[in-house]
Amino acid sequence: MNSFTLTIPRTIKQTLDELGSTKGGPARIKAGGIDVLDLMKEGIEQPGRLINIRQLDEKPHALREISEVKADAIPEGVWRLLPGGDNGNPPPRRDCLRIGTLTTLAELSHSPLLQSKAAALSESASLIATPQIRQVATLGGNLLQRPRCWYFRSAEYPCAKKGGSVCFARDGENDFHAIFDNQPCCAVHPSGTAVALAALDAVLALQTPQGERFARLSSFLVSPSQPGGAIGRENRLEEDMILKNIWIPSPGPGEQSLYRKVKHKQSFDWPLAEVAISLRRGLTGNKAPEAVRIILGSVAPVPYRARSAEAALLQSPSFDAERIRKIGQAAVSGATPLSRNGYKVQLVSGLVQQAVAELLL
Amino acid sequence: MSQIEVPVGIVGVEVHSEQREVPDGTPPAWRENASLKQVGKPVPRIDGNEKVSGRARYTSDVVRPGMLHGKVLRSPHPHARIHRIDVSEALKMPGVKAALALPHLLGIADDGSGKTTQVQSVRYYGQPLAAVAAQTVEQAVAALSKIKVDYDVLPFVVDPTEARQPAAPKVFAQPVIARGSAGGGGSKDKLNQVGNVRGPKRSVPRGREVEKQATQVTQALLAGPQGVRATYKTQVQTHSALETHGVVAEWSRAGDELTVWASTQGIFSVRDELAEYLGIEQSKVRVITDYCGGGFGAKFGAGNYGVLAALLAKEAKAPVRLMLDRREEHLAVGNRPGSEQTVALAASTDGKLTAIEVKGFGFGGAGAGAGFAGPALSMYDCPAVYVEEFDVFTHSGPLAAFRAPGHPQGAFALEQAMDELAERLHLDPVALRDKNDTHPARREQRKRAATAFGWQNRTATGQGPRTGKLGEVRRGSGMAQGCWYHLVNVDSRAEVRIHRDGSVEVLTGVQDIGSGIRTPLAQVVAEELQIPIAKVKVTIGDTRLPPGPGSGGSVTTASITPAAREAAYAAKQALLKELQAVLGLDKVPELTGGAVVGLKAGKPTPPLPFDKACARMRRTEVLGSAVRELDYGATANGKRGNFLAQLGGVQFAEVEVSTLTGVVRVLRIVASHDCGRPVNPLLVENQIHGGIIQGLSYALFEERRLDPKTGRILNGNLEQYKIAGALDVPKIEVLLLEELRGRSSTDASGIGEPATVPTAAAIANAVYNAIGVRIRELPITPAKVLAALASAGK
Repeated sequence: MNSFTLTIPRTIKQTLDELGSTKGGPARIKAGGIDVLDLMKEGIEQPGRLINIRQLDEKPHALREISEVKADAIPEGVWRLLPGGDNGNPPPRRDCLRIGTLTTLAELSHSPLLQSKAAALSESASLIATPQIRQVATLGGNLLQRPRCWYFRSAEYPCAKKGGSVCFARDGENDFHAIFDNQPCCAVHPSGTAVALAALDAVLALQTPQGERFARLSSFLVSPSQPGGAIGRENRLEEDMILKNIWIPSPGPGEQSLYRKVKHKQSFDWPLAEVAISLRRGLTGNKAPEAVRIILGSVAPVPYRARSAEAALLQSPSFDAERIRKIGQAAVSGATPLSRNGYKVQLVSGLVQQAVAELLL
Repeated sequence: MSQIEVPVGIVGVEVHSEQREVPDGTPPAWRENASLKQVGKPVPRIDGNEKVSGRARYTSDVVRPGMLHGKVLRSPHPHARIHRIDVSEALKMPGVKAALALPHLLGIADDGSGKTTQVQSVRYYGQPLAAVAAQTVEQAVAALSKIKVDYDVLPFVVDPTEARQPAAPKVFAQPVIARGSAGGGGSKDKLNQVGNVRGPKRSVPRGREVEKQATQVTQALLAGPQGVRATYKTQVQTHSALETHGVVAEWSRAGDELTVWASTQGIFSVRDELAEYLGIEQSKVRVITDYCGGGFGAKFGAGNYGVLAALLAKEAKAPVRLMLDRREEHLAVGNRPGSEQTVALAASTDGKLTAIEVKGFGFGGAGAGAGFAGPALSMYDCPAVYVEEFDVFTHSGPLAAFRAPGHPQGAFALEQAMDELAERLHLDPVALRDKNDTHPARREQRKRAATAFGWQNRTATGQGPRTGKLGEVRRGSGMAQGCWYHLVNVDSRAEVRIHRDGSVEVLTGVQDIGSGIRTPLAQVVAEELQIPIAKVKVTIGDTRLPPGPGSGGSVTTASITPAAREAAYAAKQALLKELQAVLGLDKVPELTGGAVVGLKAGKPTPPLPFDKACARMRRTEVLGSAVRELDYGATANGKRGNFLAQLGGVQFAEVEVSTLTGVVRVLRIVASHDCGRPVNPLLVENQIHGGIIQGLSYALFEERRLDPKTGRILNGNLEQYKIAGALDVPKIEVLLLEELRGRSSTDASGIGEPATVPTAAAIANAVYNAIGVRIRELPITPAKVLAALASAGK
């Protein structure tokens, strides 16, 4: 690991000042430190300065707080990005959950508020890594961690994501790689909470030197093939920004969410595939689904929205094993598996079927 | 010599008395465990508190004054010729006190190029080449990059199938030989070697003729009438002990005596190898291992890291700590070799085996001896058995002995073949074994484990209960059995000292690999002297002590507890003689009920408690010393094919398989095992749990992954190299036999290895029972399960 200086700012302003300074080489934010230390130990990143934000003590909205905010107190920037707007009309105002990005994964898992109002997020956090890591790892760090592709993670492979010219995984050992959107890089996005948050229509609050900015998670995370994407990065976080809060619309009547993942090992393993579903059902009659988001994880460079599966689900007049199988198959339509990960097509279809069955059977 | 009476048989089934001829002075045999006070009791580890509180000193905890840190330079190429290694620039780096090239390489098959002054060839990625010692680890790492190595990079092959092709780059130009270690491994000399393929090594059960068996097998396979033939593949597994390999090496001020703290399972093998390598006397090398964080067979001998540390310490005139990191651990200190085995079985229509044939390849990287013959040669009563094994060399890290070398691989193939045969014959898998296996312990184990498991409720293939909202989760049950050998090290000595205050010491140069040998040593001495265990101080883990066995081959308890008991017995006799003289007794008194009782002038003396008796000694201590002799009445310990010398082990597994995701979960394992007399059933169960968890991990998860294009390891960590964690561990039920055999004064055998032999096969058979498709390749991953289901159209 390279030598570095460590600074411990107390406020967001101090943090931004540190980030903006050029003295001592490039700076890197450290929260829980789970990912950044891994990257530094392997020599993938060699920041001259680490800014430890674990101790940030910002008032009034602590970065380690989970709370529900009434509709009239939602910042306009958040409100405008919430779902439900159409034809140029802004979405309706509604209550939201606000989660500080220094909240640990353990806190997300154990929060009764999230368990009842954002089950997918709480479930995703509870299934990550180990109890020890969940005590330390933060929501922000989980969203911003780098991919786990074993070629990317080894300093010996100058892969395209590290500024080289080759993707070693594409024709190499790609068992755990992307089955969608897998050019020019086939590393999958590593964040479980991102999959849940994408299903929950989350909005991010970013602090920049110019003030607070907001972005939908789904446009903040960007694959190299998408407009504004670049192979060397997984998101639009700029060097002078920090990720402050996550906003999630509180569920309305008939709305629920769920997150499921498939791990080879049940203890301490990266997922083979994930799915998060948010669903709104009618309040009367057979309570038919009226709206759904199905987001797949560990299948693409960013969480992948399975629109065909969503359509299949909404069009299904009723639900039985056969109709659910069709929804599962729709989820993997258009998949482009690589030499060693064809099994993931079947696995993702199976996982979607399991999750849909849990919600609707 | 004299005669003693010994109990023989399985407690709870049948025990009878037999006579054994034993050396004079042998203590009388113990009856079954129920009649004993300390032995056979589930005594918690006497050093458990030290271990869990962090006070136990492992090698990685050792800090010496002025200690430097060593780091190893490893080859970034899997195959190269080396012209020159220049460490001069590294020596100029800050904090660096020594830098040197490795004189010759240990742990690789020996191609006869001999002991030169510098390693000339690279045969695997990560091969150690040179090392530096500096004041900090960071300084040492920085200095490594300044070592200049002139390589001719050569073509390589890491895929074992490609390596078999005639045009594949050769790992060795010359025929090789390979020595084993106390834990196994090694290979026959003078085998044929063509390209990267060495063999065949042809084996048949002991006492039979190779050619005749080969012919008989061929004929029986043709004759049938029933038979199965299939090919099974196993992966490369790394040992992944929690404590990495490493040493702290320190020379005396005069530079002629070396002390090494080593993470090892054999302090004497480390001492002897260092003495040989460095050209100094064994008496000038001292090796200390207070505690060892696991070895599994890969921690015998000095290791290249040990040699480098000793040489660096000599050059720097300062102690050097050299502990490998996790990545190095996966690269260069051994593995369980992969295999590809074709098993053919023939049987009569009523299920009597008529032929067992196993032919195949072992993949031990740049090491030889990657065989798997054991179970096929030893487990079943079959008139025709023939095994043919080839080593296939690749440019990858060499194998090392690994917990029952060859046996989990062999059992995975053979025991699935037996399951396939049972199905062909419409026989229950347990019944098929009953017809072909007369080993008395396994017979009883099948019975007990089947009952405890509820085997009679097992459903037909693919017909088990289905759960999950879509009925996607299938349950299944399977069983498999294993074998290992009653092995002992007859070079083991223990000393027992009884002090005047009634405290007792036992001293022997055995080491605790992690299974907790201190506690059984204390138990046997306490039993013999009729004192509480707390009165016995156990000192082990130092080559200044009398030689103990290496902890491999499951020999430790079988080897050293008889010596300890006999040493205690001898010390007791010395004490009693001393008391006769001091107290003026008519004859040598007796120790009974924890007190000394004698006759004085024809009248019984009042009972003198042990500590009060000791207080009457004129000397400060009495000493007993004993060596582990050959088993009573036997000379060939561990003779293969001899049921009295074979250990069994039967395991039943219940699994759940998701047909939608391919994920396998093991719900429970019922395991029945034998280890002679269990000296400490708690620690025996502990080892069985460990063996099962490691076997489960082998069955489902573990696999070293090399990149075929670069020859480098892709998962040299414990994140992508997958090892079972807490949530993957099933409910484990252990049914332990107490099998008395009248072999030694404690009658103990080992358990570490047998416990892991049948697990993967039992799980694979259960997976088949659950989904009706057989997975013949390890590890059983979701990818393989889904592919198998898809190809079977299920």
